[in-house]
Amino acid sequence: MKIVKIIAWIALVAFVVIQFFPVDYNQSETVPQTDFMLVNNVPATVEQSLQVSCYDCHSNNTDYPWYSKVQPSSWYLEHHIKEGKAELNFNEWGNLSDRRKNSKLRSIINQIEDGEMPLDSYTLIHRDAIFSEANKTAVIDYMNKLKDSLE
Amino acid sequence: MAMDNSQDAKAEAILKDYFNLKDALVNDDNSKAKELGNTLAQSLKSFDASSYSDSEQNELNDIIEDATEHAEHIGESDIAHQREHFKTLSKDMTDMVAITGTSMTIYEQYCPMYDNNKGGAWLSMNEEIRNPYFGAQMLKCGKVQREIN
Ligand code: HEC
Repeated sequence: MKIVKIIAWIALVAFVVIQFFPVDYNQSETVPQTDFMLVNNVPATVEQSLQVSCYDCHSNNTDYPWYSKVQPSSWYLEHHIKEGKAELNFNEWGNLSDRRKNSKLRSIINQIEDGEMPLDSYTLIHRDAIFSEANKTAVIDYMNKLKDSLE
Repeated sequence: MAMDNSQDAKAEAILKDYFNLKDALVNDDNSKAKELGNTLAQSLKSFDASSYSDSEQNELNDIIEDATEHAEHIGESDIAHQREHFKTLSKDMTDMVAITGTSMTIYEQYCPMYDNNKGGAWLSMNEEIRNPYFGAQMLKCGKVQREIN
């Protein structure tokens, strides 16, 4: 079974080689004044839920667990962060107009109610990012309150 | 209200795309709505607010940015999501018309049952109710709230 051995070697070499490919890590030391938590008066439980379940993909600072630094999983995350931040960046909340905030709040509520966020492929590994029913209700209630205060 | 005709023509084109999109949702046609969402996004992008006053420009650019995002999402979502985005899009369109004006007669319609009874409004060129949020499931839910023009 020489061929199997060759394939295994190629796979191993490829796995080692891709570890040296550069990754654009999404990390920032400072939290800007426009951050969602600084602009709004967010209850501690809601803040905790959002930080753990959403900020990795929707802010300028991802909390990378060790395995996410191993390729190809860092590519996977890099891609999601780029797309996720383009949709919504909690760090830049204060820069949005009231119309845009309203719109984003509606999307956030819908995404959580429909169970689309946090992404399944993410909670598969990040078990702590899964919302309990209580978390879910608390976050949705808070987002609704914030939305009403803007209207 | 702007007097520049070409400007108004762009706003009218946006409204027409919006009405076509609304009709696709009335007909429960997911793929047609995708196509029309992308068409609308293109029209929105070509809108130019420069002939309006400064404060109107700010407001219009804000509206267009928001509406473009919703139109783009409608271009790539399932029908339930399309309808969620259509609700916010309809608010944007209503606010846009309030600034640009229109030569058409438009009806603002409202169904209180959409979105877990939080309600949903939309614009239509026909007085008769054809509900874009429920489609065949509840085609006639709604009433005319206001006539524009
Ligand atoms: C693994 C990364 C990841 C996590 C964690 C995550 N998101 Fe997202 N999010 C994305 C990506 C990628 C997109 C864009 C593609 C899409 O819509 O699926 C997105 C899109 C969104 C959108 C816009 C969708 C729309 O249709 O308007 C909202 C709102 C959102 N996320 C909210 C959240 C919230 C709230 C949380 C936490 C409960 C969260 N996300 C957690 C990656 C993530």
